[in-house]
Formats: sequence, structure tokens, C-alpha cells
Amino acid sequence: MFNFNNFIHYLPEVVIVFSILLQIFCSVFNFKRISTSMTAAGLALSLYFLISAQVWPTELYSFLFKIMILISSLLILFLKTKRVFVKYSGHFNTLYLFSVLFLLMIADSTNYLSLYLNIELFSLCMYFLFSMDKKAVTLAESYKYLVLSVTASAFILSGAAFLYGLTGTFYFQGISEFINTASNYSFSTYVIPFFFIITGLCFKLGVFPFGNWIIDVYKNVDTKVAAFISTSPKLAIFSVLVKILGSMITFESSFILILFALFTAGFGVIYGLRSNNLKEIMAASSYINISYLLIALALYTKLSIATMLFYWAAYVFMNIGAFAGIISLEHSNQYSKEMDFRGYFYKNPLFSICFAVCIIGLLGFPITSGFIAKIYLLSGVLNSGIIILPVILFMILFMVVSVCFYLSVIKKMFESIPYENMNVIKCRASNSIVLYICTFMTICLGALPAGLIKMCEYISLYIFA
Amino acid sequence: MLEISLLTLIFLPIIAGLIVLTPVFSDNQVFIRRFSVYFAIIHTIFSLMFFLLGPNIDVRNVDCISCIFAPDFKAAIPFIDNNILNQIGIHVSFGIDRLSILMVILTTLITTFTIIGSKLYVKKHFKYFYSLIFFLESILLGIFTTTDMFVFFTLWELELIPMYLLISIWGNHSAKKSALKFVLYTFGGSLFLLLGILLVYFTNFAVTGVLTADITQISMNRVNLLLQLIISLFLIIGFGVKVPIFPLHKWLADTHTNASTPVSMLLAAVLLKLGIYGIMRFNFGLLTLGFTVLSPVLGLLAVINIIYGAAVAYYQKDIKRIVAYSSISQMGLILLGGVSLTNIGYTGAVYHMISHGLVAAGLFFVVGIIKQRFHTTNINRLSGIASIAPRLYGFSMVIVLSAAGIPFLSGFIGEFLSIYGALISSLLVFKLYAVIAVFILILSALYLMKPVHEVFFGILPDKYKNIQDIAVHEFVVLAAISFIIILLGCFPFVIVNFLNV
Repeated sequence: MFNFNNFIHYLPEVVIVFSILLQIFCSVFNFKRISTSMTAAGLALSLYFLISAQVWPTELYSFLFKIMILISSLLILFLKTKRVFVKYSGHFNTLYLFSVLFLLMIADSTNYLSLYLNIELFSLCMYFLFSMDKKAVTLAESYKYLVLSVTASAFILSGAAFLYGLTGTFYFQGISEFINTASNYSFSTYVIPFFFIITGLCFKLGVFPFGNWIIDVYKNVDTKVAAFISTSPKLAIFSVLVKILGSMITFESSFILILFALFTAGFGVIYGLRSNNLKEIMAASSYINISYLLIALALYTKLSIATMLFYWAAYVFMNIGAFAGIISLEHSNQYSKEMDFRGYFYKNPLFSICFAVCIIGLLGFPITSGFIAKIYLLSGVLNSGIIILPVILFMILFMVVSVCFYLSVIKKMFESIPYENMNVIKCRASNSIVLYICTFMTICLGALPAGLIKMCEYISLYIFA
Repeated sequence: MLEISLLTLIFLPIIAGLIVLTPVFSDNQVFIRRFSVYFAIIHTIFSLMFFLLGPNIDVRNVDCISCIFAPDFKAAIPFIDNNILNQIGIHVSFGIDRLSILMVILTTLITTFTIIGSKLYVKKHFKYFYSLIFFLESILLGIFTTTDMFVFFTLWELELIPMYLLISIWGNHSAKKSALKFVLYTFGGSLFLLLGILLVYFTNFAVTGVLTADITQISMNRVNLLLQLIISLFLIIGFGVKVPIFPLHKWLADTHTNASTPVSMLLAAVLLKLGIYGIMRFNFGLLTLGFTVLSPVLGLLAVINIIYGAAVAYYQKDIKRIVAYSSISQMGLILLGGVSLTNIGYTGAVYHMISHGLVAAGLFFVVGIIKQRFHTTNINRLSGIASIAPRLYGFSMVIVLSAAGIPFLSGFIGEFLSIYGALISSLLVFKLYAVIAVFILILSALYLMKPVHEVFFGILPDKYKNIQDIAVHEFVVLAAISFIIILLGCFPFVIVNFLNV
């Protein structure tokens, strides 16, 4: 029974499937040149269909997450790393589109089975993407990721099975209704499956006890793939988490998540302090930002969800901008490993200022969107009541300490002894365009945040409706 | 008209900074500096216009202490101050009252001195230096005039970026470390400040039902004492880093020692005053009840500041560190006047803020001249400078004596009024504090006359025989500072009457 009205909702995914077929066709006939632009066209078309589709107000948040997934994938696609996958660009783009497709489906999933299936398929895609350049280190890394992520997915599956045994359904909605109506079960019955599922999802987010793979992946894998895994999958998982927590949020679950988040931030800060390379700093920043987002999510109030959405919108651009800067630095034979880019500001001011704006945004200084996001997030957390004050004090502590390692990047850049033999960074045009777009968005959201704030509050209003 | 001129006053430095920064602007350092100097002088004259207009600006609360921000008009920035922000109570607007006018004039004046005096100390990246100074000036003017808490906080944090760059790029070899220390302390404090501001915002909403971040509209009178104390504590941690209040002062000496002379001048003269300004506006103006309860504690901290700063300053060998620790001591006195809850103490605190701004800028400038000429600031290695640099000696004596609180110089009035304010306070413990604080008159003479004695008197080593006395631009700065110090010392009622209508 084919209904066109239903079909229109799946148009973004369908477009991506068609462009996957096109990519396979390309890789068979070896059309390397147009492969990337065709991928970009597919993603852009998908984004267009997504925006033009009518959305049910209660689904607005996953709609927003899907838009952010597509935008971030589109931006990351234009990054060109040193180990450019020109030779395998067809293969790379096919896998890339597959993973975007699975992410969209994760964000849309309404039951545990489709969630599990899409997460597994996505991990498989990432396994191949990681190991694409066939170096020994990345092969080992990707194998490790595969094994760990399968284990984590098994946790989700066993949690889902547990819940199925209790409630007789896999659907989030059904489980929520069952818990609300059935009075003979106490919440402690649900804590174990909840804990299982949260464990599995926290692995994907890279939350502290389960998230050590983030460091290795960031350090060893190609930077473009690292940029991809630092934003899009987390967006999808957050979209699911909003749904799952909506069905079973209680004091205990909030407490567990906040505890996880605080440990993650602490770990990230300590890791960042002893890091001496840009990618390690980005890994630490990912830990810290994810933990702030998790705290806002775990409180699950109207304001805190709105602040989480705003923080995500700000974080996506800052993060991708920072990765674009790192890739440019790698290109110009300046080691990002030893952070040897002293005095770049005086050689290439525009690039340095844009990169610095992204870093400063992650740090949360004014004019950037990170600052507004920080204030807004803290206000959302504080609004839950004065009892949350210790958590905020911890957050403040982490924010202050994280200044140390973020500022070390800026310090190097503005150091005023430029090397005489140092090359001016010749950024690839695509990388710098991505950096400029991200910087522009970061400053735009920082200077004129009101529209997005309003939108986020509107969206979060409907989650509770 | 006033609205437009206030916005012009705030945004003019940013425009000047952008003009300097544009690639078509000349790279010639003389041209850049002259442009900056002329611009800063015109801007200062423009800001003095507000002082002359001041008596016409109506003050609503005539009889009590005018800490509550009550500007007559509010100038909102078009386009940024939009409807959606207004709905959540944020008004990106600026206003000016008497305290703000004095702080604005202090800022523009000291910036002018800084730019004139920076001739010999800025040796690289001239464009960036002057544009950063202008950006910083704009931010400071914004902090002193904004009526919105969130704008205040934004500017409070924004000021860190130019300051970090100014300290670290143009400082000496270990300046980066102290710049990081400065940023860490201030950033940590500012997050507590944010917490306090958010609590004020939410509590005000809970009590009055009006969602606003406008300082002039918030009333926290009906909030209970415990909550007021918690909020006050957060705010005081935030502002106390800048003042600096005793346990939070560690960044100050290092930052001053390693920063270049113009940056030190600006830091000591204006940035330290931000903390006191914030305490006056937020703790005193908004959370009066909590402030009244906390004031004995703050007074104790102020006295510790005075004695501790003086004692540490006395044992320093580096002149710059002596001046830095003397700042801590003097800021303690300002704090004591400010928390004494009397009209006279408040007037004295504001007076001493201006006086200490001028004196600290002058002292750091003198130290910079000595450092630039003799390549050392260690008092053991310097002696007999007065014989080759009599003009430097003369001007430094005026400034040092003002810092030591000699009558007919501005420092005396500020110290006298602050201590007298504490003495007539209704709280008994403040009388004790005043008695202890009187010792600042002796202590400041002790720790300042010691370096003067060591540096200016004695036998001049042979290697220093050919060193020149102060140049024209240094003469201009020192003469202007000395003139204002003497003027304020002889005619204190210019400011006292301005504050108390």
C-alpha cells in the first residue's frame, strides 16, 4: 500500500540510497574526479528534502539533529587530508554515504531493534573507513574499534531483551506507556536494562569508562574520519537518548548520567593537561563537551533540553572548524604532533584568527557561539534547582582547568618569533572554505543567538507536550 | 542626543582600532602612534564632556549613597538589541550615572597616557598593539556603562582576550606564563560571577515575576538573607579576583613584573578598579541586605590586604614588584572605604580609585623609564639617579608622595576619606579596622621611600654617567599625571561635590 505522503518523509534517506548506487557505479567505472562532488550533491539534495518536508512538532528535535548530521557530514566531506583517498574516492564516498544513512536512521529509530541494527551497521562502516589507508596502526585501531563496539552493541541488545521480557515491546513509546501504567513494577526493575542500554550508548559517545577508544582513534586515524566520528554519530546518539530518557527519566537515571558525565569531564581535563598535540587536545575537548551536554540532557527539563540543542548547534561548527584548521596545518608540513606552528599569526593572519576563533569558542569566550552556549547551558542546569550547585561547581572547575590546554594552542600561534624558513600555510581552498564557514557561523551564533535560542525553546517545549 | 553620544563614546575606539588594523593603513610606527595619540586625546576630551554635563544629569536618590545604577537614559544598540532578546529580559543597552562618568574619564585618560608613553616599549607589531589597546578601551567603557548583567558579563570575559595577548606578546620572556596565570584566575572568578548573575536573574524572576537582566530594574529586597549571602559570596569571588582581595591576589605581582610598561599601567590603573566597581554595583546596589551582613568580613579582608600588601612590598628587591604589592595594599584601602556603608567612605573609595589609578600609572611609568634606561629594576644595583635625571626625580617624588598620602596631593584625600568613613561607621568593628588601616600612611611611606632612597640617592656608578634624562613624551605624561594629582589634592570638591549632590 504505497502512500506518497508517507514516502515524502523518507525522501532524504531515499536520495542518499540513490547516491550510494551512483557512487558504486562511479567506483566501477573509476570516475574519481566527480565522485566527491556527486556525493556532496546527494547530501545537499537530501538536506533540501529534509528541510522542505513537513514535520510533526513532537519530532522536531530529531529533525534538528538530522539537519545537523547532514550539515556536518556535508562540511566534513569537503575537508581534504594529506592521505587523500583519491585512489579510493569512490569506495570512501560510498562508505561515507552509508554511514550517514545509518546515522539518519539511528536518529529516526523508534524501537530498540532498529536502533541496534543501525548502530551495528554504522560501526561496520566506520571499521572500513578507519582502515582505509591500510597502515598497520590504523588497521589495528580499526580492529580494536570493531571488537569494542560490537561488545557495546551487545549491551544494548541485552538491555533491550530485558525490557522486552518486562514489557513485551521493543518500542520506546510502548515501554514508556507500560512503565507509566503498570504499578506493580518498581523502577529498580528497570535500572538494570536501563544501565545496560546507557552503557552501550555511552560507549558510542565516548563517555569516560567506556570511551578510551576516542583517544586512539583521534590520534591514529585519518583526520577527516576523526572529524566525522567526533560530531555526526554523537548527534544521532543524542537524538536517540532524548527519546529513551523521555520514557524512563527518574532521579536515579539522571544521577547515573551526571556521574558518568562528571567523571568524563575530569578524565578529559586530566588527559588534556598532559597532551602536547592538537589531536589529543581535540580528544580532550570532545570528552569535556560531551559531558556538559550529557549533564544538560540528564536533567531533562524544558530549559536544559533547549540549552543542550543550542550547545550542539554551536559545538558542531566549532568542532569542525577546529578540525579543518588542524588538517590545514597537517597539509603545510607543520607537525600538528609537536604543535610546531609558532608565529603563524604573523604569516597567515586570516587563517590563524579563524582557527583561534574556533578554539576560543570551544573554550567559551565571548563573541563566539561557545560563550553563549556556555552561559545558556549553565543557566539551564542551574534552573533545575539550587540542589544542582555542586555539579555546577565541578563544571566550573573543569572549565577553568581546560583553559590551560586550549590556550596553549593560541599561545603558540601568537608567539612572536616567526621562523624565517617557515612556509606560509598554503591551505587547500576547500579546507579554508570549511574553516571560514565554521568561523562565520560561530561568530554569527555568538553575536545574534536570539533566533536559535527561540527555536530551541520552541522545540523543547514540544518534547514535553 | 545623549544616547547617541554615549554609544559614540563606547564604539569610537573600536572603529579606531579597526582603522589601524586595515591593511591599507600605513605600517610606519611613527604614523600609527601619532594617529593613536591624537585619537586618544580627542576621545578623552569627548569623555570630559560628560563630566561637564554631569551636574545636569538628574540624580534620583540624592540623600543616600548612589551605588544603585540609576542612569537617566538608556542607549540601546540598534539591531543587536532585538525583540527576541528583550523577551528573555536582556537589553543590550548602556547608561551613565555619576560613578560611571568618573570611571569612563579615568579609562580614557589612562589610555591616553598609555598610548603616549608606549613609544619606547613597543618594539614590534605596532598595528596589533594599538588596535588591541583600543579594543580593550572600548570593552572597559562598555563594562563601566552597561545596564545589563549579561552584557556586563560578556564584556567582563571579552576583556581577557586583548589583555592576554597584550601581556603575552609584548611582555618579557616569561610573560606567557603569567598571562596564563592571569587568565586562569580571572576566568575562574568570572565563572563564579556568572553563577551569581544567573542566580540573581532567576531569583529576581521567582520573587518579582519579571524576567529581566537589567540592573536598574532588578530588586532583590524581598529575597531571603541566606540566598542573598550565597549570591553575594559567588559575586565577591568573581570580583575579588580582579581587585584582588587577599587569598586571590597571586596573579597580580607576576603579571605586573612580566608585562610591558604600558600594559602594566593600564592593568593597575583601570582593570583593578573593575572589581571594586562590580562590588559597588552588584553587591552594594543589588544585594544590599547580604552586603550589610558580609561587610565586616570584607572589611577584615580589606585590612589584611592593606597590611599584607605593605609588608610584602617592603621586602621586595624589584621596584616593579614593590609597586605591584603597593597596589594590593591601596586596593585594600579602597575596599575598606567601599564596604564601610557610609557616604563618606563610599566617596573616599571612589576618590581613591581615581587617585590610585593616576598614581599607579605614574609609578609604573617611572619604573618603566628606569628599566628602559638602566636595564634593571633591582634596587641594590641602582643608585644616584637623581644626579643625572633630576626631572625624573622631581616627578617621581610628586607621585610617590601622593601614594604615601601627603596632604595637598590626591592620595591624601582618598585615604583620609576612606579611613574616616570606616571610623564613623555604625558598626563597632569598622572603628577597629580604621585604626589598623591608619597605619597605611606610615607603611606606604616606608615601602615607597625605601626604593626612592636606594634608587635616586647615593653615588652614581660610572657606567650610568651618559644616561639621558626623560624625553619629551615622558615629560608630557609625567607632567600631566603630576598636574592632575596636585589639582585633585588641592581641589577635592570637584569630585566630592560631583558624587554627593
